[in-house]
Amino acid sequence: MPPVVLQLRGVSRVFAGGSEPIVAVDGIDAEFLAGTFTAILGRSGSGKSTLLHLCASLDRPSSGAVIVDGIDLATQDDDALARLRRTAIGLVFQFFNLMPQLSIEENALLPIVLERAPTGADLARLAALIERLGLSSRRTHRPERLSGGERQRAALARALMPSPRLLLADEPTGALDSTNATAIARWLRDLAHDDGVCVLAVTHDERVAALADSVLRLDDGRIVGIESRRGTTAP
Amino acid sequence: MSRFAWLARRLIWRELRIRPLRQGLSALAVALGVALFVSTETNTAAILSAVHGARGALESGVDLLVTRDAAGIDDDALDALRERPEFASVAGVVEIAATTTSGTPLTLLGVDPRDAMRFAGAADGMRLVDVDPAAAFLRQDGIVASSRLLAALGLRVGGDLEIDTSIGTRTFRIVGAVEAPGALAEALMGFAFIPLDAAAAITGRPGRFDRVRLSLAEGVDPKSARTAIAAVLGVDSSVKSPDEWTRDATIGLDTFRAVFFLNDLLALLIAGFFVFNSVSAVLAERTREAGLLRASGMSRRGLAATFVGEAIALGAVGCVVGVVLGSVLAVFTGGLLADVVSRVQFVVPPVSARLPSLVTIAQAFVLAASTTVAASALAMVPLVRRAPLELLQVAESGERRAAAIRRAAHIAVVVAVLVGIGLFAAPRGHERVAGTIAVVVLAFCALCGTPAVVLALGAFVRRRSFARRPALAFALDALTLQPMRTTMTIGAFALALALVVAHGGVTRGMGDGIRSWLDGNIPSDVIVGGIAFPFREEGAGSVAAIDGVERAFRYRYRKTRALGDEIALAAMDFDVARERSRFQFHAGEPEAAFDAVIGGRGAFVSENFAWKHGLVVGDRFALATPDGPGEFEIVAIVRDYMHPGGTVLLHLPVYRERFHDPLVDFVELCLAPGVDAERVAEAARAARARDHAFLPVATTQRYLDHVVGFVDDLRALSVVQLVLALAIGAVSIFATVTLSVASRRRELALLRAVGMRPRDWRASVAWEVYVIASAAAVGGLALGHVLWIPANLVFRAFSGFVFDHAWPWRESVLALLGAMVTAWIAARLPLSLLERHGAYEAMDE
Repeated sequence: MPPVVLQLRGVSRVFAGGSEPIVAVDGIDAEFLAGTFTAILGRSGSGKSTLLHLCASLDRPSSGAVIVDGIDLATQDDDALARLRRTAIGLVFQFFNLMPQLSIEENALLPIVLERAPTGADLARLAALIERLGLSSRRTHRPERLSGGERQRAALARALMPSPRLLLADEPTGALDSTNATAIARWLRDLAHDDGVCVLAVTHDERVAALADSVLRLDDGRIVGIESRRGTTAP
Repeated sequence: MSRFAWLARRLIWRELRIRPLRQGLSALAVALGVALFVSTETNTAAILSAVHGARGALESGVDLLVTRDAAGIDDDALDALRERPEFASVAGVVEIAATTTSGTPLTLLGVDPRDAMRFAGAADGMRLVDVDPAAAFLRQDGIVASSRLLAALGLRVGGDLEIDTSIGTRTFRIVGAVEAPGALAEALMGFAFIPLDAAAAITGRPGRFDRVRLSLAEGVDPKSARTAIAAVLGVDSSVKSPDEWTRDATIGLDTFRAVFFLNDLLALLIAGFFVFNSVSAVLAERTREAGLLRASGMSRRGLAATFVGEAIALGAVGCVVGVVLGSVLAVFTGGLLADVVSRVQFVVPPVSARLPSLVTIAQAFVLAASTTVAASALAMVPLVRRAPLELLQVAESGERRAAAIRRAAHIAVVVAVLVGIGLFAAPRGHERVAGTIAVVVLAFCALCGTPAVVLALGAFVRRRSFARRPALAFALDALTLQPMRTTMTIGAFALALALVVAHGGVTRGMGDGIRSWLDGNIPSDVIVGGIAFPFREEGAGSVAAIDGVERAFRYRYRKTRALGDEIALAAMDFDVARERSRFQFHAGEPEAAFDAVIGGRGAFVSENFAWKHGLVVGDRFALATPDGPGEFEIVAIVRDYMHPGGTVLLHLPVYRERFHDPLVDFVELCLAPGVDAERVAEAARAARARDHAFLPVATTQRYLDHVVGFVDDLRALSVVQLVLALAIGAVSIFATVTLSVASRRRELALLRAVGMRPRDWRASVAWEVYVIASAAAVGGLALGHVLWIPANLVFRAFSGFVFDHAWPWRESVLALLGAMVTAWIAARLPLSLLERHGAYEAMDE
């Protein structure tokens, strides 16, 4: 059985708001294995994005534990979490979030540069990744000159550059047309199956869900259903 | 409600309401600039009004005023004028700057009793009270002062008034009072009348007057009166109407006005920077809103009007507050300014507080409005020119702006080349005009090209630093993304630092130059006398016989005219100077020159005199002597900073023979080696003649320290400039980096999301700050040294003096350290702003 990359143990996130607190994520327990692609589905406000941010260490749970590669994120300081994000976790956003002043190549190289000076091997990997994502002719361009699909592929290149064990995607196809959306969804599945990455994608898109190994449905911050085809368990 | 009012209420008022701190700071910056302007104008107008009012009253009934350099006009000349049929009355006046023992500035007018009543009776409404005219001025210690001054001091006629003069405190008996109506009464508080003999006792110059008051006989026109005066006093006298005299006497106020106006402009420039940044921040935050308005059908003009309206609202609020502040400031600083002017320029009578004139208020509104509109337009134009769709796109890489900047630089280079070619092709005789135009155009080209240089330099460093120092690369990205803002920030800080360095260099060069000149020229160890008190040398007593004195060196200084200009004439014992002085020769063979000047065959002239008139060794020039024009040959050209018009140096015996002048200004003592100068100075004070006790005595070292001290004081002003520069730098950097952080919050959040450590993004902001400070410091140091060249040219143009370059190490080190410390302080708030927002929230925006 492939190793567990991400564990959620009784994870809750409560926001103080108005007269009473808002419970965005409510006691979630789950484990996600290497080499699997999981889609998280739910209506707006169901807690999908909050859960993804907790997994990405961008936010801290109000209670419970988020464990990535055996490391409990609550025990880590800001520096250690930053290191984890640039070495073990890849992030893809709905609106790409590329740095506008950096070229596509530089955007992709960002997590490496933040860790250390890039080596020849890094540059070779960058070239291969850009080639694989079909961005060779665009590598020196700035994001503003790319189409939506190209920008999302560039964001994917950045997420994959440090060879992460965990890839988190927040509505990765939300801003794309159907052709590009399907292509990105296939990319995510192939990454999981071919490269052994644990992929979690928050989505509304049933086409993405159709390609996933498991589908986890959320409502009011709780897991209300799991369709497990391969590799995801929930106690 | 009109369309504009509807928009103004929703867009402009809302912005002012939701950003009260930022908008308030911008309005306050404008208000401070306006307040400085209003208070300066109000105070100078009040001073001029007081001086003109008082002088107008005092000189009422007088047609002409005559003066003649520092030596004044003597009794014989006065009698000669009285014998002329052109004049109905002739009266000599001695004018002495003094203060009451309570510190009130007072001008003592020494007048002839025969003239006293005319003084205080001719002006409308001015009259003498409580006075017996026949007896009043028979008392040698009598004084007539304004009744308001007496009331202010709690004195009355018959009492005593103590006054501090240059020879100590003198007690006068109050023998009468002058009354006048309204503001004139206040202005007259600054004047008091004493008998001529009492005035002569204070100045130590009996029989000499500072000016002569003339009333013309009936039917005599001023032109023939001037001819008659020239016939008696010679051509070196100055004849002016009372109005001309007052105007010329107060011309020094223009210098103050100009200096204050420059400060006002600097303050408004900073205010403009505030407005620019404020509008930039608004635009950065409301770009999408602008896009929506444009997409909804608002025209470019309408969009511009919205933002300009906001700036005008800021300017109007700032101006109203500034006028009120300035009026209050004028009340508190009026007395201070009058006091400063009294110390260094001319005695200002008490000034009554006044409100700013309508013209001043209108000028303030124009200045405030033009500052805010220009600053906001500069910030706004790039946004207004963009298409609605571009405005709606969130991210911008800056490529479009960079391309525009590069285009502007290319055009600037082409224009510069064309101007260069044009300069060579300029028609003969028009080189000066062509050169001036070329300098202006080239300066403008440099200004247009600078952002491109900033961009190129930033891109070059960024390319090399991205892989190894990403924090630096992100900082450079932030700076080059807003090249105009970056250039303005660096430029403002660099200019402020450059002024500090240039001021330090010029004043140090000036101080070194003057000190080495005096060190070389003064041959003595102890100095008896001062330039304001010419005396007969026997007045110095037996100082030359004091034990330890080897030789006495006599020196006479007076002003005269040569080749159409006022110059200094310095006559000295050249035989002593030959042995003990070290003149700095620019031209002439020293030994032959000394032989010639001592033998009466020629004169030394100063370098600025020779430069101004294009003279060289061997040329001849004329000086006005009592026997008519006297010719002198130039035998040497030496460095001398005595007078901006130039100096002619003669051997004292030759001067006495040609000018029939037995006076000296200094008797200097050259001591034997090892003799204590302080002891000799003390002995010289005791040896002064009894009626010459006022003669100052000082060791040469103390005298030099005193003379050069004013240059050191001037140099110390660079500390004030440095504080001002650092304040400008702190405000600029703080505003720029805060804006930069605010507009890049999403980017910085993204960097944090992809794994940038907190210390790295803090380092990125720190880099941004230190790059600005370093660029400003380096630019400021370089510019400061370049500014020394035009500063010296200005000196040359106005005074003929040139000073050697001196490295202002103290100012340079202070500027560098100050810039870095300022940067560190200015970075604190943007960093805390950054830390307050989590990556998660920023990315969700």
